[in-house]
Amino acid sequence: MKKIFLIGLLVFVGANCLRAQDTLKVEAKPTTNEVARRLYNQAFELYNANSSDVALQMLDKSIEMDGTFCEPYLLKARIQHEKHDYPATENTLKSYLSKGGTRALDTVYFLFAKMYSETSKVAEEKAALNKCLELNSGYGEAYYTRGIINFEQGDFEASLADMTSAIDNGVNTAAVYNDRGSCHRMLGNMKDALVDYTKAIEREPKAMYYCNRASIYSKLGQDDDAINDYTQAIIADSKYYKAYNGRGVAKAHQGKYDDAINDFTLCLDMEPSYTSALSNRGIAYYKIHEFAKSVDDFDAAIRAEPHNGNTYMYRGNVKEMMRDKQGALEDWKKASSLGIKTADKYFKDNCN
Amino acid sequence: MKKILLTIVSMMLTLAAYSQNIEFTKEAFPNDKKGLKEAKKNMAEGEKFLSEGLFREAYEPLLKAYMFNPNNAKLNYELFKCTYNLKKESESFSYLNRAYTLDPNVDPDITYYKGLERQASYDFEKAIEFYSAVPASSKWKKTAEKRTRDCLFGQNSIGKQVRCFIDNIGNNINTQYDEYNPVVTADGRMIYFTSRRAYKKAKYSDDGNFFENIFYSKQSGDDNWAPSVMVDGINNLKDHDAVQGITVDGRKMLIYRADGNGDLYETTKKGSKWEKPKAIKAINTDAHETSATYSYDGKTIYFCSDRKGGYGEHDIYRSTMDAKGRWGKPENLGDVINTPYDEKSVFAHPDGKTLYFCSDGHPGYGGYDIFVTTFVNGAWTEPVNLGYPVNTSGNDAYFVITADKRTGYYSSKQVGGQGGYDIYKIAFLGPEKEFAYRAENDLIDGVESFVDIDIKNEQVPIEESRLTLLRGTVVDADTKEPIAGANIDLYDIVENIQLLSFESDDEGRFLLSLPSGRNYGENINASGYLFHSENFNIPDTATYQVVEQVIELNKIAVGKSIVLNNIFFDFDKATLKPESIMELDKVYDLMTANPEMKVELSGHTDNKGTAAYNKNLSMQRAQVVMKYLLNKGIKKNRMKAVGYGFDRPIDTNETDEGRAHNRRTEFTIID
Repeated sequence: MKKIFLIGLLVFVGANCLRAQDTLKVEAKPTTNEVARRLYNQAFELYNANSSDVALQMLDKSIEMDGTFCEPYLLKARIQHEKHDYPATENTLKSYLSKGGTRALDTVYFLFAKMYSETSKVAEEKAALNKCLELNSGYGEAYYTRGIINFEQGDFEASLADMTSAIDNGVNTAAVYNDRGSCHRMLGNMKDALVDYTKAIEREPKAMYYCNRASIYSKLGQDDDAINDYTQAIIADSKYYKAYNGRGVAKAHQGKYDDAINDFTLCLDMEPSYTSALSNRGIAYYKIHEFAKSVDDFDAAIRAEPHNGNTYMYRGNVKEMMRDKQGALEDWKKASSLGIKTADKYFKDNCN
Repeated sequence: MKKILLTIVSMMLTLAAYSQNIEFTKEAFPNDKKGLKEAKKNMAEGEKFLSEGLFREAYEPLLKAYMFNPNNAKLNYELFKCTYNLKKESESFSYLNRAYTLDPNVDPDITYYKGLERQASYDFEKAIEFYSAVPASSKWKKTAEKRTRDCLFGQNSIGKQVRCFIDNIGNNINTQYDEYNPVVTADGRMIYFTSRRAYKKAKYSDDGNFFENIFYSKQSGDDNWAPSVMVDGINNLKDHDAVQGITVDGRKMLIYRADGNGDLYETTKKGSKWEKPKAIKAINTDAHETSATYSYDGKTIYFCSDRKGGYGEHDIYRSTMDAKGRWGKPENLGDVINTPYDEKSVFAHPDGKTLYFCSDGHPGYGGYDIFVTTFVNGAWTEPVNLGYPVNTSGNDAYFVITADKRTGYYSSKQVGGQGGYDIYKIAFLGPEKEFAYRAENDLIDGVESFVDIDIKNEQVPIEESRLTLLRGTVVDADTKEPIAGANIDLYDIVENIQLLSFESDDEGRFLLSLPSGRNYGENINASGYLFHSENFNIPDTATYQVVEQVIELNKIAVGKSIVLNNIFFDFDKATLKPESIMELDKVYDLMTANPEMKVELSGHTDNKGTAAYNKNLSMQRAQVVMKYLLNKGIKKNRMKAVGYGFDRPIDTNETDEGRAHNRRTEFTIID
């Protein structure tokens, strides 16, 4: 009897324990935050799989779940930015801020800046970058972007400082060195410009960088080095017409006018209305006394750029050598009316 | 016949480029003993003339020998020497090159002449090679060294050409004969020159050409000259007369005549006629005096002479006129200008400080080149070569330039001329005009380019002319008829010295050069007239300008007035400035010459300030002028001082210039 009771008791207790486990095992419901995260993760995978539209839907749901979870906003804004839907991008970012989001605010403002850049709202862009850097003084990309704005606004000192900060904060691209080199150049620091352009080239032998360095060599009177760099630019990109023009100028500087003319012609073969090359070739023809060809080039340059007073002045200079005094006077007068003071002097000196 | 012969010779020179040297021997010409004998005879005859320096006589027989055998180095070299001394450069160098090709050692002097030939072709590098190969023992060694320096100069400077147009001035001036020695008036409107052309009763000189005579022409429109005419009264027709220089206004002329070893003469134009030229005794010596020029004020003559005591062959000297109008003892201009070689064809620019001359001693392209020097701070600057193409590897000389430094004239023998030496005009275009190359760069990665690099060409500045050319006509104020023989006196009123004095021509005209950097007083007077005065305060920086004047002179009569333009007072005061003395003395002279004349001296102001103030100031000023004349002895009862203030303006008071005209002192005849 006793044995049966004990076995019964054991079964009873065991059954109750089991029941209790069953009761513990009742699954806890997931929180909205977790759901939001899962939805975000799915959206992220979909975005990486190029299903941006579906990803957006997921992100909307994630945001519904938890409006303070910032990652969906950022990804959503990114997708909208890529779709060039700037108003939507701006709204998404503003929504995040209005919902009191506090994480990755620096990135949020950086995204603002990128969006404003696309819509040419320079002041807003700069303000967003300033805010980004306030929040995170180590945001290298933000320094770089702000540095470009400062450069375009002519504040080369500020631009140089930003470029340097960008580099100090991990932006190590060829572009940033090139751009900092350009800051140095605009501030007259030619040797520093050379150093930075060289660093840019070492990272990426791009035609533009070679041309920039070549132009510094030209300024320093190192025409052979300039010619070499322009040649390297052409090797890097045979369609970079400005390299031909630049090389032609360097050769003209050395008195190699025939070679210069060849380069200007190659440039014009690619860009027939490129007024710099037309004008340069006109000058080179003048130097070798091919006055008729020189005038033809200045004629073409004037057709392409009818309000460039210098071109009128140059054409007048050539006509003087062709003994076309009346033609020269007319061109100098026109150049003077377009603000070229030197032409005014030529006109007055030769009116008798 | 001669032309045909020369053509054949040229063809032979060209065709037989790779021949070997062939001597006049039986072995070389086994089948033509007769021809060989004739050729040797011609050669001997030619060589004999050559040894005596009779180049014209040597030419024909040598040429005949050449027709038989053009491949003899020695013969080619001898023909070279002939033609070179007969100044047939292009033909002579053909023979030289041929001789060199046949035998580079045909003569010890051949390397020197090859250097000359290369230098004449502007092949300076090769020329230097040949000159350096001239043996140390050669008589040409020193000259070769000098020419090497010239070649180095040529190498460095040939690329920096002077911008100019050079044109023959046409057949109204130039003929098939020689024309050279051009001289022009400062305004470039009249040209005198020397020509050896034929004319009625023309005579030959010893060299077989007609004698030199002086001609002139006037500008007849844009760059055109009227047909040239022989100058009356100064050409002696039996000997050489060569114009050397004229004064700024063209009223005096310097002439070269071949008296003795060559002397300088001077003549003056009275009305429209030239007086008989007179020898300038103070300048002429037993040596060769040639090439002369007047300074801008006519008070200095620069000339060339090979007299003893110079630095080389011909040197440049100057002689200055004293207070009595006599030419002073010549002095050498020194070794900055003069070299151990030849300096000739001097020309003094009307700016009073620039001298042009030709020299074969200063570094040049070859032969005589034209140089310029300036008198600055009491010394002549280092002469500067005028540059190519004004100067060439040939002889460039007899250069003159107008007052504005824009037009030059010189003589040259060039292909395309009328014949012989011709006169050419050089239109200077000034410094190189501005050009700038453009290169654009993409400075910021991803951003469109916006930077230009301007590489400006270097300019070679040419000093601008700093003088004022004053061109005037003196007329009667009432009839407007020109007054011939009016006196024009020019003063430096700061230094109170008279600079020059001359007369208007028979059309009442005059021409003056006023170098910048002086305060000039001009006084024009004629018998029976009140004088007229002008002030030209020309700063040192003032560049070339032409001022045209019509000076109206009032007859001396009651009621006639003159403005005393060279009377100056301290600002807002009645204190006379020292610059006024010259004008006051002119007033004194006028009143002394007209002892019955009574005058009113009146002061006038502009309208700034009150009427009372201006009346008072103008009265004080008139009284000061009167006091000066009183002190000099003019009686008080002949003068009356009045201050009109601004009551009698002669110009507007709305402008600075007008107000300046109103501030004046006047002189009016009242009895």
